[in-house]
Amino acid sequence: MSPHAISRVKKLILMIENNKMTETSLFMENLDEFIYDENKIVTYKWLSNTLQIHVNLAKRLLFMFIQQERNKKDKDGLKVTYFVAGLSIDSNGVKKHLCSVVSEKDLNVVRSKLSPVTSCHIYSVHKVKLKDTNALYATDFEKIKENIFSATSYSAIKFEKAQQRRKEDTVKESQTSASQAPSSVITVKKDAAPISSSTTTHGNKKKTQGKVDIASMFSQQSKPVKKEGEVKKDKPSESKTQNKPEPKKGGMNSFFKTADKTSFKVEESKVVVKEKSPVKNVKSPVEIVNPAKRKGKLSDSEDNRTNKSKRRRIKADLFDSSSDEEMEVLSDEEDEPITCIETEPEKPASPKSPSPKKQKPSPVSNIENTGAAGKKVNTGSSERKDNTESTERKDNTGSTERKRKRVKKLVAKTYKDEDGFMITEKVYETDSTDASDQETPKPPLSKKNGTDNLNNKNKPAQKKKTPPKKASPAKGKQTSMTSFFKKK
Amino acid sequence: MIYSDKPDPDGVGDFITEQSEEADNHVFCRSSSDYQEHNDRFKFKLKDRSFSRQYAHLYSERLMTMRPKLSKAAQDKWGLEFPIRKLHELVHGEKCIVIGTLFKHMELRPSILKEVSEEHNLMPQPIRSKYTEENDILILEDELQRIFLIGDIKASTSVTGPVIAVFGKEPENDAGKFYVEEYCFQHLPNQLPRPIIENDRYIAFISGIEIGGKQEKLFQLQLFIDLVTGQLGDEGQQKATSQIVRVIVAGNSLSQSTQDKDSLNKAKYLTKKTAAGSVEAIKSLDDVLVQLASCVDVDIMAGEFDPSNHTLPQQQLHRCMFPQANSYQTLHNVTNPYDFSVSGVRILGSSGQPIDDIYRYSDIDNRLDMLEKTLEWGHVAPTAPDTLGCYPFYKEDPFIISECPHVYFAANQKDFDSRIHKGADGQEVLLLTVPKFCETSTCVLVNLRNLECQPITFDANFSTDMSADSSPEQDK
Repeated sequence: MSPHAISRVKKLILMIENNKMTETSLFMENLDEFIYDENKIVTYKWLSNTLQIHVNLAKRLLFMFIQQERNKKDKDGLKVTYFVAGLSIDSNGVKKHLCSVVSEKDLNVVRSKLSPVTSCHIYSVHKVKLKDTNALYATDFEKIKENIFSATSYSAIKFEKAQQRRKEDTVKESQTSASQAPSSVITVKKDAAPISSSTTTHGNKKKTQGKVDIASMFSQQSKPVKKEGEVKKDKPSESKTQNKPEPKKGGMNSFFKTADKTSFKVEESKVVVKEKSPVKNVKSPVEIVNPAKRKGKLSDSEDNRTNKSKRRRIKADLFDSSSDEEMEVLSDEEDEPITCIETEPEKPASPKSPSPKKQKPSPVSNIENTGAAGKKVNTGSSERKDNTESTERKDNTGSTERKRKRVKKLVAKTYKDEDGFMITEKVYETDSTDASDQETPKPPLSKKNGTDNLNNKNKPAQKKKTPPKKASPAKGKQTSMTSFFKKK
Repeated sequence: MIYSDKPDPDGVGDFITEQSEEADNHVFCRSSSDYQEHNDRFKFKLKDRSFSRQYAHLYSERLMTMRPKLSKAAQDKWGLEFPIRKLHELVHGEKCIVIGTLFKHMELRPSILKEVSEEHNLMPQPIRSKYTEENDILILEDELQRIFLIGDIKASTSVTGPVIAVFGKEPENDAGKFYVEEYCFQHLPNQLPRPIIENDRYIAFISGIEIGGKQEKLFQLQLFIDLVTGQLGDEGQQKATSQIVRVIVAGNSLSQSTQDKDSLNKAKYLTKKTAAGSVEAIKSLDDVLVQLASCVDVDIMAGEFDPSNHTLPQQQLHRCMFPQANSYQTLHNVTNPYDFSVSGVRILGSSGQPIDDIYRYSDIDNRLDMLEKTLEWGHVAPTAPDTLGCYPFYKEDPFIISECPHVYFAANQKDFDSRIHKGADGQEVLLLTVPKFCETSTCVLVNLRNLECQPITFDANFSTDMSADSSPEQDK
């Protein structure tokens, strides 16, 4: 610590001991630090947000600080800008209310032009001399961006009606709008966005959940149903962004075989599913009905969808050696519960099929619910799928844990999710002595994002939630390939 | 009454004087107001949209709806002795009244048929600011026929679209032309009397923010937000600002430069990774709106450069574009034109496209005059669908003014201007043009109590004079 700071601290301690410490002096100390030590531009708004005080108190503090400094010394080297407002008559004779931010020098000039003056207070204090308003705007802007929802919480005007919508309200709204306009992709996005924005806490949970999941994989074998619900809600925004750039990644589609087109449809239908907790639907046995439904819808699919399904098949090919579980798990990762269903009939005798079936009900039921909606909708459903998938994966691992010799191996898995993102994740795989591998439930999908700035912005919360993307070399040795898919 | 012609502020300079006894944490409650939307006729049901219809339905609907109103107005003006004739019933030389739609034939008017016609071999017409000229001819059209109008009616101040009643005769020697002696439009519809409001209640209009453009005034916009949310100003001013009950963001919140129409023509492989210019701009707009919405009711209208449909009526900007702001219940996405009432005061207005179109196709210079004319004609956008893009309505023409508003505004104009228009039946309408914020840094406050307007300009001036460095003397 600098000697200056040390002396300050000593002063503070003395003051505290002497019981002369008041809140105001504490603030003044802080102000002193901000202006002199950190050389910041302190606007009244910045001060009020930083110290969490009322804006008027911040203005008063700035004034007191200036008084104090100028009374102590002749030259304090501080520059001050004022906000002044009043009625002025412009060239056309129109009386208008002028609100102006001026530097101290011009204050009296501007004040004289206004009659009457309705406001005059300090706007900012700083050591540097300002040439224009950019620096002022920048400091306030950064502060606002830190937490946009509390930007006006210290203002002098409160409005009771300005309440944040609860999640359920937004969900209901998007539900009604979606039912009116099944073709509207945007509604689901909206559905996802407010949820994501308003559930930052969930996002945090999700992060920890992600890490916990891996651990729980090895320790527990229970189905974390509750987590699923939460995680699902966090996911919508993710999938949203993921969904968007999907068509742009059309080139990659050729890498993947044409998988079930129905799986794609399922995604869409899933998207339209509203926030009804999929947990409730978990038990509904709908798998077998769905393939028929989906296939019917398949005929309506566009090229993108076929590409997606192609992707799926190729993915399936890549992991040919994997067992049913793996296939299902993989397809789960892709938000394709349907593939699970489809592989099921192929291998009905598989001993592991009961578990996938168990897991599938949730996504399947989702599909069923959204059966009516045939259009491609965004992330909402895909996110839910992600959630189900992750939980399914967990379930998978838990339920299908066999007594095999397991070796934990860090493997990079590459897959294309429904948004068209190539996602490569390092996953701990347990290598059992058998040929089949089990996958650990992956942490919440990290987005290898994409081009969609809007989606990114819409879910800043989700971005925070998702663990950082693991850029592991895809397919082992082809390091260069991953860089090809990274956002430029 | 700070926001008026004679403000009487108190507490000025409180924060640059010695501390008073009271704590500096007064919080004022924003006044609330009842709000009603009358926008249903402008909204589309998604299922019902069909662009395959022709516009003839719209014109015939317009004529059919307005004919009874016009016959009443005509009879009131010229008495019952003169018959109201349809064009096919005209008798030569007989003085009569004819009701029909006005059509202005302009040679310079851009016509796609002329452009693509091979026999003309014309180059595409250059874009002009006005397409009118001396030789424009007015034509009256009713359901079956059309006839040239000559006489006491000026083509330069008329546009295509309004339904008019003309009084005159078809001269015997000059068939095919109607000699007009007088003309009239519908009566200004009845206006519900304005309720008496005791306290001042203000509505703030701001338009033409044009985020993403070169002229965007972000600092001044932030000053506006700070003022409305009650952060700027001394206590007296903050108290007055708490009486602003609504903020209308009236169009063109995004700049024209965010519209990237060229990318439609470029090859996909070139534009795949480029994000649209409007994406960043919408994010900034969302930041602006979330601050406003946390503190006041905000209505956001679409404008010419906003991501909404091009034809009128422009639909609401979608909620998903404002994820943060939409978490507040105070944000409302509304159509353009916008018709609503606050505390019983009926307000109708547009983002300015109809007025801009009238400017292009007539000789009227003053925007407020154009606004007044549309009120007289009884139609918000008379040039639609002729030169202004419009949805092919089938059942009704929603732009007809059937209830007289108390405030009639057009946004995105060059300057602020306002006038009270007095109708024949004692109606009082405040005509208002809201200036573009990006050019003037000005917003408008309308006091609902007495329909007074006050423009507020935001300014930031830092002189570059480096000489005076010492701080002024303070009281010691």
